[in-house]
Amino acid sequence: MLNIKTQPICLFGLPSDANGGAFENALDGSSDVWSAHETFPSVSGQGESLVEATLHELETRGWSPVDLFQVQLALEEGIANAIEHGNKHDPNKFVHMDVELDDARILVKIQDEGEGFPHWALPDPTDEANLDKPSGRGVFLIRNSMTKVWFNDKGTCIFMEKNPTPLESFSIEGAQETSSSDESNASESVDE
Amino acid sequence: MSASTVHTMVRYEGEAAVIDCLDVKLNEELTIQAWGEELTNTVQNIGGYQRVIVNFQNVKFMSSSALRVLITLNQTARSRKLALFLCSINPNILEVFKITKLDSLFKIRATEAEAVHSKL
Repeated sequence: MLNIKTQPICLFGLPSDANGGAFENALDGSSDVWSAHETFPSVSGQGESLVEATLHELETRGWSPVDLFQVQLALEEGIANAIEHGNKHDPNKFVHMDVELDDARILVKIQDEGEGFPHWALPDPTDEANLDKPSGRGVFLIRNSMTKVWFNDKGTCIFMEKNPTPLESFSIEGAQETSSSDESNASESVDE
Repeated sequence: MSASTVHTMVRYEGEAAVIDCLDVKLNEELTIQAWGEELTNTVQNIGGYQRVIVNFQNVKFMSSSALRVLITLNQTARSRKLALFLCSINPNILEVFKITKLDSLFKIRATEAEAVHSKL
């Protein structure tokens, strides 16, 4: 069941061994924080309500279409990995998903009840030898869509963080183009 | 999702068979599975056409599961000596093709007209 709050749920007030202190600057409630939690069975299509609610919230806060697409991609891939590779479609195993966001950041935690996986040893799907292999792009896409991504040691829990792309990173017609260190965020789709 | 939901439509433009993808989002597993079955069925059974174009004009979101289907479809087309083109891909989705370097694996064209007139 989707549970939405307008206060931080201390999602990232986690033990330091769970996230390596990655979220030590977690949202502190000083700004308008939105948070949500949902636990759902490992069945295709589950978790969509939380994804939709998250995207709607970010959109109302003025996040760009490119950022919304990237957040959606990361959430969808994270959920699919948890259901498919983590819980192996076992309907008796659950996915636990938390989202916390404000205007400047989104934090996401997706945890499954599976055996984990060696997240440190994933093959690079962009290697020439792997291009024609159908699988193995989910985590790669998450890493490319979000600002930071972590796993717990076992690989049963993924943490993601994203900051919105600065407006000056987008090309504006008639204006001098600004440089950006993240070309994938900067070049396209402001006209969607 | 209804079992009777249609995910693709096939048109014939000159010497090309054009498959229109009807879904706005290709992210849900059962949808992608059904969509993939329709694509594969078309490519396996198409007769008299050497050029097959998958048109993504309606699609605004696509997950890696959909990419998986397309890679397998590309292999099927290759085995049948068909030229498979992808066209009218949303800029956000096109960026996914680029960062995964799948833009080098597929014949991607900006418009359907370009796909129709590209060399085989």
